[in-house]
Amino acid sequence: MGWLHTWAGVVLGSVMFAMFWMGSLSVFDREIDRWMMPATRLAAAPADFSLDRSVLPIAQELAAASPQWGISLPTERTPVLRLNYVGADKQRARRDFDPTTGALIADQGTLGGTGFIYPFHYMLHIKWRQLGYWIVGVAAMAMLVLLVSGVIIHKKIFTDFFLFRPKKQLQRASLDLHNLTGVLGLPFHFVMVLSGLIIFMGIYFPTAPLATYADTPDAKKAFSGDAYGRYNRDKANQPGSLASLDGMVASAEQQWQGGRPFFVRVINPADANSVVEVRRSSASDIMVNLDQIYFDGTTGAVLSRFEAAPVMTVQRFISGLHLVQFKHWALRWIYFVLGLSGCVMIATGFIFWLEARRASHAKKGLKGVRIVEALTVGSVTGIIASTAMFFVANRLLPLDAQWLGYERPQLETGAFYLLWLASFAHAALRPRRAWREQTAAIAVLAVLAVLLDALTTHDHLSTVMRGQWAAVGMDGVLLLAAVIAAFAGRHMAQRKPVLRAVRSPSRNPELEHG
Amino acid sequence: MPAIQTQYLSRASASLAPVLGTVSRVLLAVVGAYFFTTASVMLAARGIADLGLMSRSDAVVLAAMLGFLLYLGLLLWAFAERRLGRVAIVLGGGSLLLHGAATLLQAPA
Amino acid sequence: MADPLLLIVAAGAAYLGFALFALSQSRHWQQVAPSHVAQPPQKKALRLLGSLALALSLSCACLRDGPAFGPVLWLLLLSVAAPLLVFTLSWRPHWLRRLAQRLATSDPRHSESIKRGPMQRG
Repeated sequence: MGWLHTWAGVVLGSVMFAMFWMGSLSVFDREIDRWMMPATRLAAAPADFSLDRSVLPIAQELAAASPQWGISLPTERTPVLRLNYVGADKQRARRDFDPTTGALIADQGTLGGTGFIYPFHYMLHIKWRQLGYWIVGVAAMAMLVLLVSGVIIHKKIFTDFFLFRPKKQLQRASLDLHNLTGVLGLPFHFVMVLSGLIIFMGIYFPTAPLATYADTPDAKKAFSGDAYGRYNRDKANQPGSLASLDGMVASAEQQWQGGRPFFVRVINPADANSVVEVRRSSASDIMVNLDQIYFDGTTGAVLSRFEAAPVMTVQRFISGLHLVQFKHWALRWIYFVLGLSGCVMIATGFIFWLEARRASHAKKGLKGVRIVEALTVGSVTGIIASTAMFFVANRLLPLDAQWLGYERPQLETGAFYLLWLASFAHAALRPRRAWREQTAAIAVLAVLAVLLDALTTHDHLSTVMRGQWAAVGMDGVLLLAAVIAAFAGRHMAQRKPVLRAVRSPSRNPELEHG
Repeated sequence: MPAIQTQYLSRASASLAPVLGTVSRVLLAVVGAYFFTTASVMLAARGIADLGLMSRSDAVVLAAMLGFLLYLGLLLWAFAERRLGRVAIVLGGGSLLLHGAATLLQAPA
Repeated sequence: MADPLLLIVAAGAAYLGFALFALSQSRHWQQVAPSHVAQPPQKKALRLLGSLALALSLSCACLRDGPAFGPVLWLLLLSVAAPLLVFTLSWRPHWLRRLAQRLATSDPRHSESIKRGPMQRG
């Protein structure tokens, strides 16, 4: 088990760190969106908000030719109206509106937290044959194996439950911290990794319904219809006009006994057989529900209603624990902190591996430590610095930026990937100084991002007054990150790990070469 | 990965046997256990559905969710079991058998 | 006003609970209150008090958030409170000294459970 724990960790630790890092940030993906899209830092939508008055005119103008359009209603975390439709050029389009004035919000030219950081967390932006999902899946399974095998090789879990000796040599201190974050965070990390896999059960077990739905022409489609709900009806090919959307929403709220809608879709809006789909918000439950009601668009009569079956409800509860769509700020912050504790667990695992081998590899002339250290530095400080770079690029690039045929969102992500690659190269070329220099880079970039936000959005202090806590919180976390990075960098500069490792060999050879 | 190889090569004086043993164990664990699991999930879903305790879709969801735990258990067992031959028989032979059974069930009645 | 208060009590009780559990281990009692300062009480009593504190934490979490969110909040508060307590033990053990002195007993019968090895350094 020791062997398995060590090598699975070293080989897949980089992917795991990226998943944990991006996952922790995804807890605040919408707040990151507000920061990266300053024009969407809006006041809450008015209480008497009307779909018929505010949305319908916009949709009929923009999405007239679209076979369907959908509207995401404004929420506390996303205070915009988001319209999805197929444009006249047959391309999927997305426009954001101010729910109070109905004014179109200029495209902010960024993927933001929900478009870049969150998908990075679960598919690494590798779309080819769902390879990204599979890499994440393999790393997640490996993480489950690591958590269980870690408990098995630890042996003294309860005696060492509260043990952390920061003043001991780096190797010992990092093992203590690895055990501490691993054991105390175990329930959270285990549930998060397992629930992450369960969310994508359809991708990881694509054959699951084949034997059960053998009598249907398309087993997967039949299963997903039964499990996730689906309704549609053919067009009448005769013109029809929409009944009141507000009326349908009110009817849905009544049927859900006060449950609020978060998404409304209109299918074949100008046809006599139009369908209006209303989906229920999950803000007040842990579970991410699948409740949906389909109305006849012309009359407002209910055509079909869907709710998840009992076991699927359990699956949605488990998914909800992972997806954090509920409104609970205390829990959201704890998720963020515990997610980062997973990052610490992975990073200290790497550091322990390196410190345990540094002296012997140097003596034997093996390159393992140098390679893994470059990998570690790039995967840990590298991705953090690159994320800060992503934010800096967001505030530096003008809204209409274009370069070499790349649009603004690609320039932002390009800045992220370039710096990330560079951080691996830097770590390979300057092994002794890489940790320190990259933590310094994190501190500088994080402070720069806050300064640029203040300079480019002009309304900085007033954001506090107007209750724009998303942007304020983001700036605060960036500053805190800068302080921690500066502190960690100084701490590393004071330690001389190479000499220490030689002088005081570990007393635990089993873990060293396990 | 090169670090693993160099270590083993230096220790076992260029003998490839331990490397091959490790590679086959990893492959059996990761790939063999995966196919063992997918076949088990298919069969379990059909079995639960045929018992009539829940709807068909729920049977599939239940089997798939438990599948992750089964895969985790199989992975741990594949690394904990000393006899590689046994791992090969159970995961290799087992997944072939289970997949055979699942394929038979997929034939439209 | 009740909501933030319940959250603070839930978090504080979780921290206190772990502090009591840690003090029931000789190693950590020594860290906080070396044996010449105060004699540790019975381990069982400390663990019982610790369990009570954790139960109080659960009750507050459930009172605040109901039966669905309450237990989740409690479990996650535990996962945060435990490392915070560990960092207190490592970096600021004297913060817990007053708590240890309150709990201390001068009864020599219990002092034999302490290992009198060299004192643990921070």
